[in-house]
Amino acid sequence: MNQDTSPEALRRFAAAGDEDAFRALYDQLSGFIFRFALHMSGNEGLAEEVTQETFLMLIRDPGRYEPGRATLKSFLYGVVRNHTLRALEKESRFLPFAEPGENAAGELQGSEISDPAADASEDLLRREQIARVRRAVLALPPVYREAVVLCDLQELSYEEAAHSLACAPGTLRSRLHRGRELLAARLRATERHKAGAAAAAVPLGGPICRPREEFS
Amino acid sequence: MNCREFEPLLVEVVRAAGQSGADAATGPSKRSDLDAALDHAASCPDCSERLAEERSVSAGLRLLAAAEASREPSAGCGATLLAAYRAERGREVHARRWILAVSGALAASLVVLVGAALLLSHESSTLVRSLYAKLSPLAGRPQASGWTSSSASPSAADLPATAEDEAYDADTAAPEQEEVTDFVAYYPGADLSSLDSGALVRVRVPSSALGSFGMQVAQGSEEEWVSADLLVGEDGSPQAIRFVRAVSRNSTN
Repeated sequence: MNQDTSPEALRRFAAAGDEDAFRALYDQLSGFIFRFALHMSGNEGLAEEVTQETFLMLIRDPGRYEPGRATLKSFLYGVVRNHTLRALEKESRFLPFAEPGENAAGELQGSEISDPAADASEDLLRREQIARVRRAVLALPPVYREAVVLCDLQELSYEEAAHSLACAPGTLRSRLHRGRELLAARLRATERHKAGAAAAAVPLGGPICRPREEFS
Repeated sequence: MNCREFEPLLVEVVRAAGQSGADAATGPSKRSDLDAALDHAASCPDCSERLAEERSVSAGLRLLAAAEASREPSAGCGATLLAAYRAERGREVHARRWILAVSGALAASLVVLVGAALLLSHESSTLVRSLYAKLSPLAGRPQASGWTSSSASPSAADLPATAEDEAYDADTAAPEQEEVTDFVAYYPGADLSSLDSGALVRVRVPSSALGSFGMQVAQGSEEEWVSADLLVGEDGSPQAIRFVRAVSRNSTN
């Protein structure tokens, strides 16, 4: 295999029949592609399908990428985005994905926590926070979600993200701003809901609920 | 800076402070603007609250990104794609071989066609030249006698010929086991000098026909058939004739 291991060079070698280059390209980019699709869809199966479709496009039609226009990574993010949005529209499979130790509804499972009390509590809080942020991101409208995911979760530059989303950097910044604003509002609302639920569950000095028949 | 100017810079202030994102240090806003925004937040309770909230959002997003940084597609996904890659390469190699085979066959056909065309054009020019050479002396000479070997036509040497023609003549000369007479006008007294094109047709005629063209017929062979070349004009009528006799190789050598 050649010395140049940039994604663009690897794509070129892979297109010329170098299998090692294809493997290296897959190793370099599959994680980014999969996680972007996962953050956008919240569905691991769909994210894997999209990853496959994206690489299949690269295998069967490598000429679709024009090196002068954008980096291969931003180009592929654009492809992933289109595949994901199309799949979500078609299949309506918008389901929150589960982390290890979390069920499909995003609730933490106690059996995963085996540390002593303090560590367990800290871990629980951290994982709760992650689950809340994940749900809040998934609840964003796609146009803002993709900006937040690319810039804040995938850490692309404004320029790269704008290329991927086929918009101007200024538009991207404005979407990112609005997306984070919505995210903050949702997290705030979740916090309030959680606080309210906690207050309802612990009725410190409040009226004691009795079975209905006692009033009759 | 006021609150309205602060708001658009909020995200960049947080991203720069948290070193989050590739634009953290090189965002479109100047460092001095971001510092001014931070100064404003320090003196404005509302903007300070917004800044704290944005920082909390950034922290949550960083936490999520870190928690999922190791999520990868399954091994099966990679294996499927590798198989697809190999299949596609195989298809391409097959297609390339097929294209090579087809273009090779086309090139070979083209060579054969061009060769055949050259051969035909050369043959026809040689034939006409040779006929012309043979017919020219016939003009005003109604009949001739005697057999000559078709490969040693003395009049052909009078014609200008290129090196190619000579090489061709050497390769394609009539076989030595045939002897031919000179052309004789089919209709006595006909002017053959004006004839510059026609077709040569090999026919079988009774030996007795030799006599009608002034040739000697061997005793007792009147019933036999001999070969003759008829020179047919463009109007389809015979213009001249020559007789052909087969000679065995042994007798010529």
